[in-house]
Amino acid sequence: MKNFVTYYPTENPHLLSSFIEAGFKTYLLSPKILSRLGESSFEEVLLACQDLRKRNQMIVIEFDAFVREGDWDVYLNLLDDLIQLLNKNKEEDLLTRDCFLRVHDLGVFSYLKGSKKGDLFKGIELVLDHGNHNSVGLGKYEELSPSKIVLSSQLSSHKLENVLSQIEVESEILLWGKILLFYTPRNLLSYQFQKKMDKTVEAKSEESPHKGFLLRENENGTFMFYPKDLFLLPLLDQLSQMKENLSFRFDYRFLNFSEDDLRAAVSLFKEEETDDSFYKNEHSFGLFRANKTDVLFKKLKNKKTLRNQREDFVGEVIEAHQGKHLAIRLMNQSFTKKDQLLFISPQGKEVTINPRWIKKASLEEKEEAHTGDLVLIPFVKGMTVKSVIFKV
Amino acid sequence: MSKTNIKKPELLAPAGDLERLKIAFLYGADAVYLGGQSYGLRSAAKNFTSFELEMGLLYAHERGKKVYVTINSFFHDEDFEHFDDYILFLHQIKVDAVIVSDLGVLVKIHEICPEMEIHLSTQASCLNHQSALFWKKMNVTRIVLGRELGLAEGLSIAEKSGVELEMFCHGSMCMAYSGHCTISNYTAGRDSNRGGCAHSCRFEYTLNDGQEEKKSFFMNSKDMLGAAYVEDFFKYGIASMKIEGRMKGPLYVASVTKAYRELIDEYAEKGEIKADFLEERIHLLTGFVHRDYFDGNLSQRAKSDSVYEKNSSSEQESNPVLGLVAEGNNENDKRFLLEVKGKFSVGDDIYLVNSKGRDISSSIEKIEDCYGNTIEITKPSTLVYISLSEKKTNLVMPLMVARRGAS
Repeated sequence: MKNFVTYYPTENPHLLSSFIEAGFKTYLLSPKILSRLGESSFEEVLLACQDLRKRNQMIVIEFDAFVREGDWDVYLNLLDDLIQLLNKNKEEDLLTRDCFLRVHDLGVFSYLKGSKKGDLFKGIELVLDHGNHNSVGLGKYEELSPSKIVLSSQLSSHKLENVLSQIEVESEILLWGKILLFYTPRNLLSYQFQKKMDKTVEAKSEESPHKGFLLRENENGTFMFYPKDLFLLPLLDQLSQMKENLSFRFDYRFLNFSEDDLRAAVSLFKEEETDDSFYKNEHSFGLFRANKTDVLFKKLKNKKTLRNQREDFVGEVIEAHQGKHLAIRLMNQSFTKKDQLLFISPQGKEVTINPRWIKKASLEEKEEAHTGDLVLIPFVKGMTVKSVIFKV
Repeated sequence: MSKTNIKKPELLAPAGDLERLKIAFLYGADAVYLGGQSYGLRSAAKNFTSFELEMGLLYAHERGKKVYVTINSFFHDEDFEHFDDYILFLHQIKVDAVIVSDLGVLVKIHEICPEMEIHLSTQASCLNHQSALFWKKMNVTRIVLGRELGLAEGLSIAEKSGVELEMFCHGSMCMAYSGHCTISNYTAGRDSNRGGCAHSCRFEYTLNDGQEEKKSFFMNSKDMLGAAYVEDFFKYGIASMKIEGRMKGPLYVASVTKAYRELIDEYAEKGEIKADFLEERIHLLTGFVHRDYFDGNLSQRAKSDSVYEKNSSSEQESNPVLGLVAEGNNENDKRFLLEVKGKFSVGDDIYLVNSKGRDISSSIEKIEDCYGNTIEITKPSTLVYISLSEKKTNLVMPLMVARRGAS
């Protein structure tokens, strides 16, 4: 049985049955402010908790906003208020005992793990969905005993498989939903539109090949999403085989689905249902197939003049005085008139020479040039400013 | 002991390459931060080869200064392949600390070299005292706080956690929580947290809320100017004042380092910074291309006026850099050798940004090449000897920045 996670349908609670029928077992609740994108009042959270408990479903309350030092008491007091509300019926079991708390801020996580407040919950989950792409770090986080960790969408399939093989803690990835690109505490939209912004704004830029970025603003700041949805549902079988305790999140909140669309989307989680014709949004596998975002930028640099870590790198040409001299600043190595020097121009032309003479800028002859020196040597045809020099 | 009886905060400057490291120290930095050829967040900067790192360290330590090396990218497992060698090398050349943002990297460094000082990068978004306590337990000795925090919040974190803190005082700002922006990853195929940030937040966007459309640079943050808060850095016990800008040129490094050096020294010596003294330093800090300034979050939370509604890349320097001094002058030869960056001619006004006190300002009397031939108009990427009309001998030192105009 696959572990599906989704958001409680606060606006359409009657849809919960469809989710349950499709195999969803865990539901996220997003209280305003504590949850960075949350819109539910505490009363709504309470009702949802009661509903879910009655139906024997797992409950996760989001507290994934970042908490700045000056707001610490405000956020923690809000959490107290929520706990008090959820546990108001003292003669019953405390409601929080049936809830997990999902936290993003390491300070909040660390604090709750060591406090009685944290003990009121069934477990504390940790969101590690930005960075945290290596098993060394994830292993260390595991030692802090989160009940679950939420992994990054930037992990390609083989990397995901690799990190999952090295940790035991229950984990979760986003299977279907919008990819959050950007989170700032500043309110950027209400300023632009000179009004309170409680709806989604679309953005495009001529400088970007993409259009249709979704933006949201609330009390926690401004959020920007990638135009294409992340849609890994077709790869679910492959993903399910990676690890038994891997959960898959369906975040439909910003997919602009009607109630019928949502119902149809939920039914896709049932194996027998494959008709996704209702799904018109642009979607992709994101970086799941391959994440090569670390190589493109290196390719853009001029390899011809990269100094790399070569021990034999001498320096760079800073003046090319046609027919007379090259001025060189030595950054590494020394050389004498007898040494062979390899010159590589920015265009890739290579020439090897012995400098017949070495002079200071004042034209005084030198026998040897040392690191840090600025010296002149005879002009080398084809070499220009920014040519690099290596000792052969 | 200074009049304030409070320990001076360290002045920490960026060094994009060996030249700028020397410039930063010449203009008064106590320490610099820099990146090697891998593992940093500024792939576009020249950065340091192993040999340059060694040279930089030697240069710094000879002057009683410190060097911190950034290893603040977010690692994937394969990035650890030659990591042990790199850390051992950094230890061997006596790097003063490494700056890290990934817990995996931190753990690995501590395993390889337990005595290595580890600073937590601003990329880790440490925003509260509990987070600081967490990182302290993870063997971090200094935390660079998120730029979303103010100085009073810094004080609270310092008091409650007992960790040494570093805060930015000047420079460009990410609009997003640092380390939490992946626009480049998905739109440009470049990992912003592994050195490939495409600065998409500086683009102009068309915004549509379904009712109206607006064109705006709505994610383009103004630059931080913390000159007016130097006193608070002292009072709030912030150990290090950090200047942003490993991608910035020599003029920026020289001017900003000089301005904050003088402000720190003034407050340490006199216990106050008079308005006119501050104004002069702010004048220095406005003397190069920058986005409009604001206080960052230092005194209050950034508000709507923190957005820079212009194209960042279209502005020109009003007093362009003409060159960098390659060789200084002396009593016998008053000429100095300049590595030319911009066009100028005989008779033009020039000033050399002095590392201390007033700048050297004069008109140009003579320009010669290395062979003594007179040059009328210079070309960039050449070397020329300059003679100034000012007859008083001013000591011109290597790496001084020469600019057009009067100081």
